[in-house]
Amino acid sequence: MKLTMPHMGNCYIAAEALFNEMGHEVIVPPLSSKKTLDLGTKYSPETACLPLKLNVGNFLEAIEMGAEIIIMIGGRGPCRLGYYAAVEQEILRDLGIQIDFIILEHPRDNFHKLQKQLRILIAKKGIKGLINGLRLAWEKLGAIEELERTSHVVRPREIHQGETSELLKKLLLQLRMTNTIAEIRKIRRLGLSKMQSLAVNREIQPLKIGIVGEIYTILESFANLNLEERLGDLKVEVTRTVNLVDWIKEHLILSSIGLYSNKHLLEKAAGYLHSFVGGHGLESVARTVMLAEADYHGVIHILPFTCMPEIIVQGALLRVSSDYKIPVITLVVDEHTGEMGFQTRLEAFVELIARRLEAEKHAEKTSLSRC
Amino acid sequence: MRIGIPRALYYYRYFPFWQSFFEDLGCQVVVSDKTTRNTMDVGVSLTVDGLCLPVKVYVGHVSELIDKDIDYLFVPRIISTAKREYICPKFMGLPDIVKNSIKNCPPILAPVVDGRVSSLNIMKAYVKLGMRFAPLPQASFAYLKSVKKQHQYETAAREKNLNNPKNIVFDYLTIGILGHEYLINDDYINMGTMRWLKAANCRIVTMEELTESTINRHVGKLKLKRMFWTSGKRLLGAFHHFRGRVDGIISIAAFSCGTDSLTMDLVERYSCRYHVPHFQLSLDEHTGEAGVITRLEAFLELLIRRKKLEADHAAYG
Ligand code: SF4
Repeated sequence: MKLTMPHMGNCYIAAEALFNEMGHEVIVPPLSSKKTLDLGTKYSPETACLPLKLNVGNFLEAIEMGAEIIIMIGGRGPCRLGYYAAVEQEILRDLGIQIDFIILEHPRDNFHKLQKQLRILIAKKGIKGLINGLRLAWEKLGAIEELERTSHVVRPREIHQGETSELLKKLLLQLRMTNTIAEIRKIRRLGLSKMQSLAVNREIQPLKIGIVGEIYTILESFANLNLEERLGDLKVEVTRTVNLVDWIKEHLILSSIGLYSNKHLLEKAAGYLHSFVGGHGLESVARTVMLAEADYHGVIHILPFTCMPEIIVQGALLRVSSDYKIPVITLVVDEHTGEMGFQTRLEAFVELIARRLEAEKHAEKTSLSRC
Repeated sequence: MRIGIPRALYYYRYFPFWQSFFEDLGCQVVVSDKTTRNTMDVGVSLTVDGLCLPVKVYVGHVSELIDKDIDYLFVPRIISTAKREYICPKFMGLPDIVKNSIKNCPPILAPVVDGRVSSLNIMKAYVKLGMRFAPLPQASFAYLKSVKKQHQYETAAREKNLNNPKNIVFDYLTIGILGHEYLINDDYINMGTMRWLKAANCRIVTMEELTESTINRHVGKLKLKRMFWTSGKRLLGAFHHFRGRVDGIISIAAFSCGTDSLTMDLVERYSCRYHVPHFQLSLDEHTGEAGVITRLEAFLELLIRRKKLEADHAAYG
């Protein structure tokens, strides 16, 4: 049984470890590329959102490599992601491809089905395989996200452009290759210190920009056209407000035992948004407020074209932006997004922030000299 | 108290209920006028690009209502109207969308309509709202009475269509229409499609004629994941009810509608599988009427040819 799953950023490293540990062979689809997107766009509904199109592309490429079962997550609404898997099944079926799907639904939605699927998955190595796999995957995920986070801090300060990204890539590969927890921890430790000891310019005071928005486009660097790297090269320190470790903690673990509450988010977003609206909509508003309060210089809001939750909150973000005097830019991505235009918009945004800061500093100076 | 209700979105579904509810509480209901070019333009100019046309038009209606001297604006926050189902997330954020796009917005009445767990919650929300204007017993009574009114209205609408003699006599083409009620019933948004079809003497059947149980029966037979959007469920159910009963199906969708992007795709796939002629109309603010009509004409032509062919087959086969 050769399993495959769609890409989302570097998560495949953790997912591969999990299923390997459970005794399955995993076919990791080639990293999302122009080819993936073209394939996906060709066979997906025209106005479906970008993640679905890339999913379909990933599947087709994996099937070509011999995948026999697709693992996909489900959902119970209201965001479209919850219905992706069903539509994807129909798309493949209409293409004449016969392939099984294992759709992992939220435990509170269909516990029996989940149990049944788990039983198929653990048939080889039993519960022990599952537990080991989960521990390994969790450890890897934690390491990946910490390394990525550090790279966001180091990249804008690096002296030799590209060094951070290269090191990160190397470390990720090492992480993918190991399968013991001790090794992972070692790579994490050594990797962090290596990254922190890259040659950096300590004089630089980078601009600080937070990224909010839809989780897939934030995490998948192909979908966001390497947003974080581009910003780093523009000497910007980025902070991702969405990451998978927290998402899993909140939305899978806490919410399945009924302990998750979004009260703190609703409090932050009060005045702009007063309800959960699916996906990360509420988070986007609350986090933008938090970023403003933490004196960030700007916020980037990224979403796939037609993404419902994020479009709902776009108007709210405009108001947060003017109330808190923090520049916010919304980047909408789809298969037509061109690299050049994207880069130009980013540069213009960064420049706008820099100029604003300059003006503020100037104003401060003059007011100081006056006293 | 003058309560403003925009003539858009779920006005086309729940207005009888809302009207009766507020009037029973002693309020006056003020509805905006029918959608015009101006409504659409204003709505488009006030909202962010990515929103779907119906929501933009809704905001346009709100802005027109403000000039009508209203005390409150009624924009319910509808999360779910049925157990374990959602409606489109845009309705969940509608009061916020309105507030964020309209300056000097009058106070909004936004009951949280959330029937995911039980319809009792919906009742609670409305009664709580009602208690702003009247004591508890009157509010509860108004709610119950309005529910009944809504029910009567729906039944009457269904029967009127079914018993319409013109509908029983078979004339020339029967066409099933799929799509949100606020697209089908708003002549301006749908570019006069419905008017045009009626003028072309087509017999039209819409989703509103189907009972909840008919829809559920059809959806239950599908080998498909449970559809968690109420509108999507109705769409799929209606499609399967229509096929075999109509000559062709026209679906009307909003271009950047999130739920339609998937459900309409499924409809298209099923149409191919079951060989049902299907025509999809995607509406946004740039849709031109002339183009729509030309394409409709071509579609009808196709249906006629197909029907003739079938008749010939029956005669000689
Ligand atoms: S269902 Fe579609 S058309 Fe209706 S409000 Fe939602 S996105 Fe817009």
